[in-house]
Formats: sequence, C-alpha cells, structure tokens
Amino acid sequence: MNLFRFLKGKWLFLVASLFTALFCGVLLTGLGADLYAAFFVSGVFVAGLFAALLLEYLQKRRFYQELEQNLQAIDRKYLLAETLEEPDFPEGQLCWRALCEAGRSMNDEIAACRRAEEEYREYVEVWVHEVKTPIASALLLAENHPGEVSGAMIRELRRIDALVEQSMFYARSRQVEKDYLLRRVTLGELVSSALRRSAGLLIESHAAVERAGLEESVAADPKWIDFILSQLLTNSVKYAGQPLRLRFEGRAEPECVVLAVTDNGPGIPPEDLPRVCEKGFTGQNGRSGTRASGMGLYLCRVLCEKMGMRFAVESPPEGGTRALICFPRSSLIEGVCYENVRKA
Amino acid sequence: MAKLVLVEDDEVLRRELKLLLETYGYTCAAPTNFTDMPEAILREEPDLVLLDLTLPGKDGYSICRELRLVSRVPVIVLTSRDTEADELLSMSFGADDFIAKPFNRQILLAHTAAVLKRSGLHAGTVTHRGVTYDPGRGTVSFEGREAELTKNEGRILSLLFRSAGQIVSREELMNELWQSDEFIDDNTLTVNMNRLRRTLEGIGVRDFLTTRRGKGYEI
Repeated sequence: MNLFRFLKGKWLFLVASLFTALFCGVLLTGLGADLYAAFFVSGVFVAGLFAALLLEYLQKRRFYQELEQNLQAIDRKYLLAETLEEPDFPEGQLCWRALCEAGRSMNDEIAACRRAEEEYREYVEVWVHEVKTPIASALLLAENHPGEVSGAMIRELRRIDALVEQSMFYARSRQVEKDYLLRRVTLGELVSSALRRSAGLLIESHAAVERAGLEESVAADPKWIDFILSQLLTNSVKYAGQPLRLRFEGRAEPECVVLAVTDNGPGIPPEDLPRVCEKGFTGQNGRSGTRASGMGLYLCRVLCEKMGMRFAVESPPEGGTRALICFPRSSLIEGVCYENVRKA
Repeated sequence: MAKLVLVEDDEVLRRELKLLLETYGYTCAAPTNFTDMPEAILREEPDLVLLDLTLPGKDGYSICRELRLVSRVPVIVLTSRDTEADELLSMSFGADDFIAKPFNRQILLAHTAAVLKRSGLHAGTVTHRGVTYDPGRGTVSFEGREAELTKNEGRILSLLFRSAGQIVSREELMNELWQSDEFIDDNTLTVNMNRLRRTLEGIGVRDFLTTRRGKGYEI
C-alpha cells in the first residue's frame, strides 16, 4: 500500500471531482464571476479534496501495511486475522471480519482432520496389536507341527509380520506428537537386538556378520532402531547375492556417533542415490527382479529425523550399499552432525 | 522339571504354547478362567509365569502387580504391545522379562531358560542315553569321565538335550546361538559341531550325536 496505489484505486472519484471543480470554475467565470475568484473556489475545493484523501490514506495505511507485512512473515497464512487489530474504518472492518471468519473455519477444518488422522492412527495401532496374536499362533502352529510346507509357511508369516510392523511405524511416522522414548544404549546392544530379531531371515541367507567399534553409547529408542535396522537388513537380504556379508561399524565423531551398516549387495546406481529415501521411490534395483514398495528407506529417514538423528545412504567405491545413522551427542548440534556424515 | 503357568486368553495360542513347553519338558498349567487371578496362578505354585497383557477383565499389569505383593515367582510378559514405554511399564510392575508377539520357539525357550536360570531354579543336570549335561558348570560327563565345554558347545548341547529324540536343523541351532548374541555363520557352526563331537568322543561317547543329512542333527 503506497500513496500512488491508493490514489490509483480512487481514480474515478478523482476524475469526477477534478472535472466538477473545472466545471464549477468555468461556470463561475461564465456567470460573470471574477477569474481569480472562480480559480480560488475551484482551488479550495481541490485542496479540501486532497486533504480528505490524505487523511483517509493515513488512516488505512497502517492496517493495510500491517496486513501485507504479516502475510509475508507468517507460515500459516490462515492465521493472518489473529495477527491484526480490528481497524477503525468500515471497509477494513468488513475485510478483517471476513479474515477472522475464514481463519476460524480453517482452524475447525484442520482440527477435524487431525482428529480423524489421530483416530485412524489409533485404530491402526490397535489393529496391529490384535493381528499379532493370530500371527503368533500361526507361527507356533507351523513350528509345532512340522510338515512339508512348514518352512515356507514360517517364511510367509515372517513377511506378514514385517509388513504389519511397517504399517504401524508408518502410522507413527505421521504422528505430530513424539511417541518414542530415548534411552542410553550402546551401538552393540542395538545391533545385537536387531540381529536377534532378524535371525531367521539372515541365517537362511547364510549371512556372515562382522561387527566393529560398537562400544559407543547413544541416546535412542531401541524399538525404533530395531525397526530401522530390520528394514536395512531386509533390503540387504532382498538385493544382495549369496553369501550375504554384513558389516556393522561404529565411529565416534566430535558431534555425533555414526553407525554404518554395509552389505555386499549390488549397490545403488548414482542417479538413484539422491532419491532412495523418498516415499514411494523405487530405483533400478527395485524395478528389476524383486518388487520394492519404496517405503523402507523412506521410513528409516523419517523415523530417524523424528528422533533428531540423521539418516543417509551411500554406495561406497568398493561396492555394496552403506546406510549411515548419525546419533547426535546433543540435539542442539544435529545440523553440524549431518555434514560430517556426508563428508565421511 | 520346572513348572510353568501360562496365562493367555487366545485359545489357539494357549494350546500351542502349552504343547511347545510340554514338548520341551516343562510342566505347564494353562488356566482358562481369568476371573480369580492371581490366586489361580499361586495355587499352581509355579516356578515361572508366562503372562499375556491383554486379558478379559483384569489386565496383565494388575495381575503382575498383585502377584508381586505376595510372591517372587519370575514373570515373563508376552505382549503384542512392544514399545519401549510398554516394556518399561512391565518392568515397573515387577515383570522379569518381556517377549514381543509374534515370537519363534527359540526366542521363547531361550528367554524361559534364561529367566529360570537367573532365579536359580533351573541349574539341574539333564541326562540322555547315559550322557549327562550340567548347564550350571558347563560340563558333560559319561561313565565317570567328564569334559568341559566351550560356551557355544554348551548352548548347542543344551538345545539338543531339550529336543532329545527330535531332529534339530542347522538353522535352529544357529538361531539358538544368535539368540545368545553369538552371530556365527555356517562354517563356524560346522567347526563347533566337529569340536563338540571330538569332546564327546574324548570321554568315550560314540554314535551319540547323529547327522541327518539335509535335515540336521539328533541325539
């Protein structure tokens, strides 16, 4: 809002008024008035007109400028009305009330969506817990009554369980509030727990496991890390040739502790690498042979970020795929930490 | 042999768990009425309680807490809610261990044995066809001759003794070792099996540990 734009908005009024002033001047002169007097009357009229316009401009300027500035400054534009005071001129009041009303309705809408999403998440959470009991029963049935298909059945049940788990963590990854619990735990404990959980799968793939430098302790939710590592291990089993070799390596950096998980798989083509952690992205590996959902690495990244950690995937020159999880020593310096992950 | 009480409301899971535990030599009571917990548990005088958390009526947490007021019997919680918060909560209500559903039998048996061992109730020796294995001391003996076992040999033998008369696959043996944080590969298992055989032959045990080609091992 500046004076020029303000006057531009008033062009019809201005033209009409100036024309009226001119007409009055000409009329007065025609009626025999003194030229000086006619000019004076028109001049007073025009001066009064501009003075009134200037006053009006000053009155409106405060409101409109604030409106423009705040609109630029705030993130959630629908909250605009809450940043403004009610103006003292009718058009402004109308506009301000409309904004308030629109904002309120938007807030209601958002609250409804949040509630619906939260209810859905709760349902998924309950459903996942319900379905685990029949999966457990089916697994035990297959193990207790060995037959021709028990082995295959156990493998399929394990896949079902992994997918169910994934759906639960997807629901958790979208939750606004934090529902993880950070605990001091060594990298070794985290890795061991994940290996125990994925033992069946890894033993079948004849995996050889190497561990180095895992004494460092970090703050993490062990259950979440369990899930993240199991996603990485499932990927390794899916894409790597046999025999599978896995290496877990811890490294202490000044600002963070890095856990690197490397396999001897085909690696990720460089053109796919920047996008592997995007939702639904299936690279060359995912499209040829084994079908990929494009959820695994995406969830790894999102869950890590929720816990204030960084997650990165790279293809080391010696081959294979390496996933890096960076546990910040302090949540204040996680940004710096990430740079180190990339450099290392 | 140790006596367990299994508190689980899902009928199939209860039946299969009972079958599994009995196959591995435990005595197992599995009440089907959950109204008078924890008294029903205490009446059985168990050495260990396997407790599901979601039960009709009183939930597992309350049962666990009430049990703790009158008894120090070890409790393993079986649950499908396996968040860190749930685990902490279970521990604060006095549970000794926590197993997430679904579990495979190695996990269940390994945890059961570990908790029993910790409570000092299951240091007993086991004997099969004249060969005695002492898990407490980590030794095996036969006709008065005794040999010490390495940790891995002991773990392998303990699984074989638990499944005496049944074939144990290489995968199951490796899984058992993995559950004790020994992440060995195929070759290491072969080395361990050969060493165990030599140890057994060293004290005069012959044709005890048989290989079932393509299937696994049996004692």
